[in-house]
Amino acid sequence: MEKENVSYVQIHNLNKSFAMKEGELKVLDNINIDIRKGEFICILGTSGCGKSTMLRMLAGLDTLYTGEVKVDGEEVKGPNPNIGMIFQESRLFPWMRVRDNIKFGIKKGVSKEEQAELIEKHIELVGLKGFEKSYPHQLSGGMQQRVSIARSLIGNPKILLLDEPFGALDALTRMNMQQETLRIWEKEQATMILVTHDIDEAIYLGSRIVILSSRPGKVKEIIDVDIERPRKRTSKEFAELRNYIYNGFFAGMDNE
Amino acid sequence: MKRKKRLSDYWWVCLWVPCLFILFWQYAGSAGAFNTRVLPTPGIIFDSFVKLIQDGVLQKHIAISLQRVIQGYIYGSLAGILVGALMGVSPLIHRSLSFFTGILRPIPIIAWFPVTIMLFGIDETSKILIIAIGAFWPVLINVIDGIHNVDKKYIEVAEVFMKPKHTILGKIIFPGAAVSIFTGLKVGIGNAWVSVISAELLASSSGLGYLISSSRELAKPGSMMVGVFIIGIIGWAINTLLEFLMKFILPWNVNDKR
Repeated sequence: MEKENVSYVQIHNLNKSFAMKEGELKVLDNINIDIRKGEFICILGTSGCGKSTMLRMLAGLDTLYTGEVKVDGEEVKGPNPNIGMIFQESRLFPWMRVRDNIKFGIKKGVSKEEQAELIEKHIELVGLKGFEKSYPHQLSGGMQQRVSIARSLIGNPKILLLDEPFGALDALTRMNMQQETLRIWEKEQATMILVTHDIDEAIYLGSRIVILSSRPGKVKEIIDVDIERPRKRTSKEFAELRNYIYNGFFAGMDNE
Repeated sequence: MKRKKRLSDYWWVCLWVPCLFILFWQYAGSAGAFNTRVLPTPGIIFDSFVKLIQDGVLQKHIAISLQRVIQGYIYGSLAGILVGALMGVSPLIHRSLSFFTGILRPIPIIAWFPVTIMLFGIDETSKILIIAIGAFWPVLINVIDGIHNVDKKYIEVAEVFMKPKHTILGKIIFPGAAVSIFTGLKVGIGNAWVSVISAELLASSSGLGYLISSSRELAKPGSMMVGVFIIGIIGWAINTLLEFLMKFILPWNVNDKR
């Protein structure tokens, strides 16, 4: 797929408020983000900054907002077959085996043979060969999230939304999953939009990082990450960017 | 890592209380602590049991009671699943029926018995109807609860994948409610068993309930106690069977392992 310069996902003048007893609570304040096809966008912010809410709008799960949310030139009015979403919890169906959970993501109109092929391919893609017949409760948290990723990828979405997908995993598994995600991103050429509160994760994964402030969520800065891949977490540039982001946006929060 | 087996890990631990109970009972009876012509000792009960088996009487009564329970249970639980599914899925049907069922449900099964006898006479129909009513309510309530308590997060996943309604129902809502439905079926069979004995005690010429009441009238306390304990043993067997079935049908359900 060639890289296009025209923005693929457009978020323009997006505002979102929740109605509370005491009046309106503004969660997103005039957000403008343009995302190119094939980009890996990380949206970085503390909890409560509305980043997950924004992702739900892109997924078509929340349509009560003002402003524009467009994907491929079309307004998002509800769930869209081209958009997949991965939640913080894997949300696998406990009553389905790994194979059937992944199969759930297949779109209709795919023949039986093709289905089997697709499942095979995606189980391999996320490195879960041999676990097809396991139930989710028999897998570790990291493996469950892999199944969830396979379930989303099997429908071949053009855009994958990831809502703090590794937040519940331990540090080592998380790094492992980040690496896997990058590998999949490079292989599948999908546009990925990942929400996180982990600065390292954003730097390691993102083509660009969108930094959101808290209450209401506002775009503070959009940073191009120019560090060459594969990125090293211990490299000087990595540390510099980490310091820049931390000092510029999140310092002082320790003492709060 | 293998944990060292504790005493509570062995199944036969469940036997010592009944054994002690029987021994104590036998001993107290032999020592003359109570009148064994009113309350027979385990030994007398066992003799009656052997005699009832030899005469083929016990098997006959058990077969009749079981047949009634199975018939009534099938009707009652199917109706419970059907109505429960409709009420669980459709808010309109739920609203329409909740007041009606709310009034009917607290009525004890026994209270329906004179009504069914008036309507159908003292034959099988009235007994099976009573059993069906007994099985119906717990199934209904648990099916509705199970459907309502399916995690909305799973439904959201299906929405992201743009799955049609029938897929959401068949692959998410019903499997998600399955554990609760099974609980209803378990309570339902218990109720059905209670119902059949009650019906047979009140008006019948066969079945385990009849065995108990007729033995009392004929002053045969041994046979009477055989009837009482057989009810317990069969009830236990049914429950064990259902639990086994549940493990078999819902192998993913690990929440209520003991």
